[in-house]
Amino acid sequence: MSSLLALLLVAFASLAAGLVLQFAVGPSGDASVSNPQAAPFLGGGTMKTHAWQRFHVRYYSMVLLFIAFEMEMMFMYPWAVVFVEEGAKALMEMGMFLAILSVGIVYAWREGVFRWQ
Amino acid sequence: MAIGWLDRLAAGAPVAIFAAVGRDAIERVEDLSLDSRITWVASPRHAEVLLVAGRIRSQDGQALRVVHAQIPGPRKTLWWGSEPFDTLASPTVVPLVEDALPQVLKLRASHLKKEPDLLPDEPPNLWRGVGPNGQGGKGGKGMMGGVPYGRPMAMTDEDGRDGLQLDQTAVTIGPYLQAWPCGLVLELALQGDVVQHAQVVRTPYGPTNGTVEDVSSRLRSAARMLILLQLDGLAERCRRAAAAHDCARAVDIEALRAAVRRSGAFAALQVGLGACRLEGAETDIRSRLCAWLGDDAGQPKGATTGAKPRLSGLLTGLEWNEAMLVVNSFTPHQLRGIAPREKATDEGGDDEPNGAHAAMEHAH
Repeated sequence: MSSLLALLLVAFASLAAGLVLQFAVGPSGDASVSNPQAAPFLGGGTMKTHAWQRFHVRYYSMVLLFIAFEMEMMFMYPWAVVFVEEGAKALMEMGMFLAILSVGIVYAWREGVFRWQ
Repeated sequence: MAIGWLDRLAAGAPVAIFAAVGRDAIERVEDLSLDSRITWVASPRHAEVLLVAGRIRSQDGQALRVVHAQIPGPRKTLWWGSEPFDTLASPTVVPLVEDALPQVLKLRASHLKKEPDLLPDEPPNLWRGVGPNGQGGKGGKGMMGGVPYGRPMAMTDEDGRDGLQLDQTAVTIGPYLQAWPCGLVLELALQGDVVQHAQVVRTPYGPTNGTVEDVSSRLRSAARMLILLQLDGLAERCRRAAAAHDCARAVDIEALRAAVRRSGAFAALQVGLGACRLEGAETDIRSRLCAWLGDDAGQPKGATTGAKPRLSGLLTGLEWNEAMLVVNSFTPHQLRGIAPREKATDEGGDDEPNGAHAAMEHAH
């Protein structure tokens, strides 16, 4: 109980110290940001459209490929542990799983994932 | 107490200036920035003093107001060979022929009355949208289109790389950027940071006083490129060499070139980027930087196009960092030749509409 209280005390003390430090050496005067200052700096130029927009995540195909290989590894570790007990059945199951997964990899291959652009 | 101590400490730091450079003043600003009591910052956000150097075109007045408003208060402005705005009560003006350094240092130390905001402190566009987030403006369909805050949403257009329909941002950029040809204003259509279209709205200024390129102006051009490559130390060496050359002192360009080569700057510039036929020779950004540093042997090895170059054509399809390198890979004289005005604005473009075309003839 006492150690918990001590921790709480330390937490409050550091919080207070942070606040005091902020008031002592923080920026004084008018630190508010006006509307022109909040706009992006374009050398005096302006945005003609909103910045709310969608753009292409061009690494997405790499991500798909990564997930395909990662899933494979994720299931192969526990499989390796029980492989000796289960024998041929486990081998068959893993074969089916890998076959399905490799369809995804072949598809990604066709989409040009392995071509570095 | 702590504040006084911090104030004294801050007063010893170099003055952060943001330079809005007008006609025939870039060399003066570059020479000024060599002093260790000054830092030339790339964004008004980090500046204490706005240095307006050289005559400003009337069309650039609004851009200057924007930059002025973007300097955090208490802002101070030094008008160095430029005409102050009428709305400022007591502007500090220095002729361009005089040294601005003492004035800059004096401005920082002084406690002038707060300079007023030249732009109203209100959102640049008023709310005109429909719906909880203003997204469904007139003519919009669902989340698409509309004019929230009086500004249109980005609409889709074909991506230049693979034809995907993606949102396209329209921005005007310039003329007051640090590593940027003086006076150039571009209107860009961007997808992410890839330039889809570029149009020259206002042409860059020609070379200072109409002089032909000499060693000094080439070194200064090289310095601008080196800044973009984050080689500030080397850029400063180039500027110092240019300033020394202007004072008719001997300059060891061989040593400079060797230093740039050692820094890996040439390796960082992609072969064939910004390739075009200039003054009868096939060049790209790497060979142009080579030539500025006194080495004419660096011919590009990549495929080049023999077509008549246009800045807007060269920028299309480039990522923003590449586009900045290409824009800065021309001397003011060359750039004036390849960047004629392509888009008329309400304010009516440039002061001298015919100058660009005359220079263009000269470039070929």
